[in-house]
Amino acid sequence: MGGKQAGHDRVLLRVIPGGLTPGPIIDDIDDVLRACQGDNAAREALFRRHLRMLRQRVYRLMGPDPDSEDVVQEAFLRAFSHIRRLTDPRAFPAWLSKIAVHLVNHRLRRRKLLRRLGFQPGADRPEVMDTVAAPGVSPAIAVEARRVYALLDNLPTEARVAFLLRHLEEMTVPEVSAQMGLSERTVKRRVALAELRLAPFLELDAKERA
Amino acid sequence: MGNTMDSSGTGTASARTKLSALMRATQIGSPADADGAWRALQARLRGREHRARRAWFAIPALALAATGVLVFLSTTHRTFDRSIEIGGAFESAETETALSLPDGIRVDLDRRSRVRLQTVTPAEIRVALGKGSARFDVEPRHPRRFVVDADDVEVKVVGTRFRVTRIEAGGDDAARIEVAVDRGIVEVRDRRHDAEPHRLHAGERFSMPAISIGESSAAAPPAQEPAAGATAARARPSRAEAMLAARPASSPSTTSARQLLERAQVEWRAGHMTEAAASYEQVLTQHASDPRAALAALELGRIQMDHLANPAAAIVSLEQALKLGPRASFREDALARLARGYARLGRTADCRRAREAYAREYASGIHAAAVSRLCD
Repeated sequence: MGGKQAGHDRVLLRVIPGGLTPGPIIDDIDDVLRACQGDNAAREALFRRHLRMLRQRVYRLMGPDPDSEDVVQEAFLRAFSHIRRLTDPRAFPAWLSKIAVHLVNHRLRRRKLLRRLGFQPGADRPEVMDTVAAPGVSPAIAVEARRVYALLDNLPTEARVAFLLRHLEEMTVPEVSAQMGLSERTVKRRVALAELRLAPFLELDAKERA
Repeated sequence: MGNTMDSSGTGTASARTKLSALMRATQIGSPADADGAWRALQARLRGREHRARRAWFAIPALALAATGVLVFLSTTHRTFDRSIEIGGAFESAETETALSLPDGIRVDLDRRSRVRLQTVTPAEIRVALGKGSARFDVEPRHPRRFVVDADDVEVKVVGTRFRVTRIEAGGDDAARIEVAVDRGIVEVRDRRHDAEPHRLHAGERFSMPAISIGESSAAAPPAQEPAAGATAARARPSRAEAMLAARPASSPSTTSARQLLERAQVEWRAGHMTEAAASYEQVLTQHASDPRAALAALELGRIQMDHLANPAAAIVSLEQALKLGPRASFREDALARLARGYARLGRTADCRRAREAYAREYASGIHAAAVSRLCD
């Protein structure tokens, strides 16, 4: 831990409650406390440390959508603006992700509404997927991804997000529940609904679902 | 659902493969564009902070505007209602001013007149006229005795309207007190001569010399002369003055609360948990009414629980935090910690109570799963 980042001293280790392993969490505690005081370098450290995780999550949840990067930015913006409300600095990544999931839910609902009103192109938007797809992705995979997202677009928003957090982000049900602010029972129902709708395409079998 | 899944069987590509493809297709974010993203975020942060600062600057401007409106109203309207504190004096400036007292008593104060609200008890409301003239309108059958003092003249009323005037000395005329009754009956008594009270009926008038040395102690002028416009001068700090004194920027006591909180943060970051706890404790003992006291109590509880291995003390601090900030943003965290503290102490009944309190408010909260496992 000591060599992780310049400026961290050993005394920080004493801040860590027993049982926690040194690593990014220790950095987060220090940086969150400094960010609370308005330290821009601490904000930047937090941003760079968690950008990849958050981007991946938002992009996966939203799929081909030009708003994805904006959601990522907005999530960091809200987190830094209200960082003093974070009572446990160790929870920063989970808290940041929760903010992002909330924003994604909101954007997806809005997108759906706009689409119903005819303000946005249809569900299948290859041109958008081409711009957000990772470099080196084969056309076959891109097509498959587009098909999945087209199906996901027809799901209720909560079911879509719960399903993707559960299966794509490989979160446990309690983790999905905490991220979405829903009860575990509701999460299970939402995931089951998504599985039901997607089953013909994903060919999920009972064993995999278990 | 189960039927659908089961009937689908196993295909050429498993669901996992398809999901993996989805993952690969959406893996984005290289270190290179993190720089650009950070620059964009910084610009947005600066914009938001600038807007927030502008909002803060707008507050004094709004306050100034509101004061201007009040001054305008006070100088252009004949009367307006203003409440007055016990022990406080009110002096009108160049306009007549209406005051509302408890029990619906209305006082119409002439220009450049002063009244002081002497006492308000369950049995009596007592007002002193220090200067000028005032008409008192008292509803019949009001619950308490209403008394007006003017120097040593005491006017006792039970449901009436009357005027008390203190006429200052001028020329050959000595200062005197006049009482004129518009409606009902009043009793007027001269305390200096311990005389029997005079009963005055509607249309009657009473007059007697005022104390030559000026105002009586009961209606002594306020320590600070009021500025232009209708102003109130008070014998003791008003609620507004007390609030002003509690403002962080203007009061030495709250500045030191801030210093204590900052010191606690520094100590915490340095790993000096005992010292950090001591600073938070100081906030609670010396600045219990500070808005940040609730947070200080929470932080103290966290330190006591996580670092000082003192769950009993942590429970006290956490309960204090919840009491000081019943709607604070940290409530969920404090409730969860409270349940954990009781669990550590083996106080099962209290733990269950805390667990239920958490579940009631945060059924799907971030600590719900962990809290639900406690106490059993």
